[in-house]
Amino acid sequence: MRADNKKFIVAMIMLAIVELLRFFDRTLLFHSAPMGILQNYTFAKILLGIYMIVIMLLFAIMLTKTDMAYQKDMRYLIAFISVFALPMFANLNYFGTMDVVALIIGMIMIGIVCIEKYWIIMPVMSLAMGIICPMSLVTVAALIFALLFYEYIRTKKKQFIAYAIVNILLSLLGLAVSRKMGYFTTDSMYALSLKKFLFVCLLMIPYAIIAIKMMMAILNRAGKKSAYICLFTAGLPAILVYGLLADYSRVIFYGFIYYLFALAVLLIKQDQIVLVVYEEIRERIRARLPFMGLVIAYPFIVMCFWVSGPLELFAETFVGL
Amino acid sequence: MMDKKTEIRNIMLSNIIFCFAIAVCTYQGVVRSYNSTMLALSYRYGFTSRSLLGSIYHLLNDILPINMMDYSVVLVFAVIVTACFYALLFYFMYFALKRCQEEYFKPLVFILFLLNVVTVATFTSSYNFFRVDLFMMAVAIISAIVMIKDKAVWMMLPISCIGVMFHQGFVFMYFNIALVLLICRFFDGDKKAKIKYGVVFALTFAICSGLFLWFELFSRTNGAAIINDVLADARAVSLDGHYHSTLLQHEVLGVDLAEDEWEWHKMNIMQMGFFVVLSLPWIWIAIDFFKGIFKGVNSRADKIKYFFVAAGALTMLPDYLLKIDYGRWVMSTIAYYAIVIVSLVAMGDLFICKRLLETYEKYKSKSWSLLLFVYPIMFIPFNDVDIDGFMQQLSAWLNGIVGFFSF
Repeated sequence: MRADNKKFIVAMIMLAIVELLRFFDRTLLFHSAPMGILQNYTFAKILLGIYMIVIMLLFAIMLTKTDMAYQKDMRYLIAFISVFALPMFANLNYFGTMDVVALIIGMIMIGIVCIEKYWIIMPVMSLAMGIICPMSLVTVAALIFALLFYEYIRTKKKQFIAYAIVNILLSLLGLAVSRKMGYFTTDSMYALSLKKFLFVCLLMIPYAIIAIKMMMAILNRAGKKSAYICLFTAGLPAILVYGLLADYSRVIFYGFIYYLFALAVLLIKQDQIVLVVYEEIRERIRARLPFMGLVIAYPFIVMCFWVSGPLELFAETFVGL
Repeated sequence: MMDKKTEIRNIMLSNIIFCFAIAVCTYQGVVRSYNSTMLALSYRYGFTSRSLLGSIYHLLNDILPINMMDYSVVLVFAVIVTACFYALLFYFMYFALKRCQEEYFKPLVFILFLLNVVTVATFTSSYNFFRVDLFMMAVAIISAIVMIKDKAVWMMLPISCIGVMFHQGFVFMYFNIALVLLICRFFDGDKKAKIKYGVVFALTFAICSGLFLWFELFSRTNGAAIINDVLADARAVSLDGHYHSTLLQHEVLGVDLAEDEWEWHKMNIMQMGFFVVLSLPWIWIAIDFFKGIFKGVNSRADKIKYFFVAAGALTMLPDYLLKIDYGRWVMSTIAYYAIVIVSLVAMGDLFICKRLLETYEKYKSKSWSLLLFVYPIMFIPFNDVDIDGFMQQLSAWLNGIVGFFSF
């Protein structure tokens, strides 16, 4: 790995440690799990540690696999992902949830997509993910399915469509197992009120506009649109399902994480259409903002104060929020 | 390449949206008892400390056709005043950008963004919402604008006096900004200018010091006679009538609280240790910046001038050593360096401009530099006795293990 990327990863590790200190509440609430040990406080801490290690390894792989011309952009994307990924499962409401396990497995699978090796272990991982975290069907499994379908369209290798279908079927099997065993719940947490969520949506409108413009530009230029349509729409189930369940923190988390990881993988794959559109959008943002870093810092405000919980609690009375 | 006017417009718009998001996320719709109880103090009881704000409020109560001595009105007043303060803060940003040469824009914008983010978060959050520090910082910003414009410099005297009248702690917390900028103008000016700035400096320093001594040592003489009236007002302007009794004991009755504060000092020491360690990236960059300045300076006059710029925050030392509101001291330390550096850039101090640009370019090229945008957000808002919620959390955890302080 290049020296500047090594320094970046070291800085990310230090940031992760500081974020753990900032956001970790040292409290485990009840969350449904297939095994009692997954709800043990010490084991939950170990899982959180593994999650942090896996995410750093994935970031290192993403940087290594990115073309030289886009290294800086990948660092921005990684920093953007970390704004959501690092604090989310340390704070009170989401520490100890099975999402951590799903994401550990999911990130390993994303890493496999990036390095284009060890595909064979993907079905096993899909089954494990589905059994431990049935809700991963609409979150991480949807992303892996979309990425595998994209690989099929890109490489025309039928094994990827097989992997994609097996991934979804095994996730469904995991859901069925969890219902049969009686531990399935949506495990919804109500950390963010509807009013606050609507206000967050208002604050995040610029990102929605950028995302939609990017998608439309890609679709306009693409010959075979199916892979892109699949990638764009596979992120919606998590948003819709958790929106209906009123778990708005997860809506924000998965809404951003899904599309950021998808964009990162497309950059690594050097998808020419995506690269051209990405550069256009990047330059338009650069022309408007004094620093690109603000794109990353802005949603972190919401994560710090609302999604990951305030450090003090008083009456919430700003326009009734 | 964008023209300067468009670039400033984009910067201001980004800044306002960013600060609006912070304000929404940190506002909690309550004026704490300490901050509302200040309104009960007034000059109708004599020329006493911290009474300017209360006097203005009582005057408005007398003039306006609404009963201001009610908590709900206090809250509305606090929102209006805070909004006005942010307008002043943004005007300072706009004013500095207009004066700055375009090649030095980026580092200046970075400092201004940082200042705005920290300030808006701190003065919107519950601990410091409508705190008198807001008025002191407003006075400091106005002083900076006067010094940058370099017109009617004599106004530094009444402006600084107003700062002391808001809170005598102004002499340690925000007065350094006015004094250091006067020193910089003194060293940069010709003989006639040196006399002008020297006289303004001497008069301002002497009169404000005199005011401080009056407020601190002599102004609290008739506390027992007025306490009931003050209490009645304090109950009226505070949420559910819960006023801050410690404040009134100290300010009206002259009770010395130092003996009771040793355990808080121990907590401060622990929190400051954590804060310094976690702020090392920023401290490192600041030290590097000043090292470059002293290495590049040749003349003795410039060495002395920049020494005052670097060391000006040391006026905070008595507060750090004797008082316990470390959140406020950290806020004012950050404000000092940000406002002074921005002012010097706006004043066209080429040496500072060039050094700032060099530092900016050096760290911007690092692969991890973009994380510097994210990092400060974890520390805001600053509180009062606790530096911030993050340090409070860390010190509570460590104290649970070592038992350093007893609460």
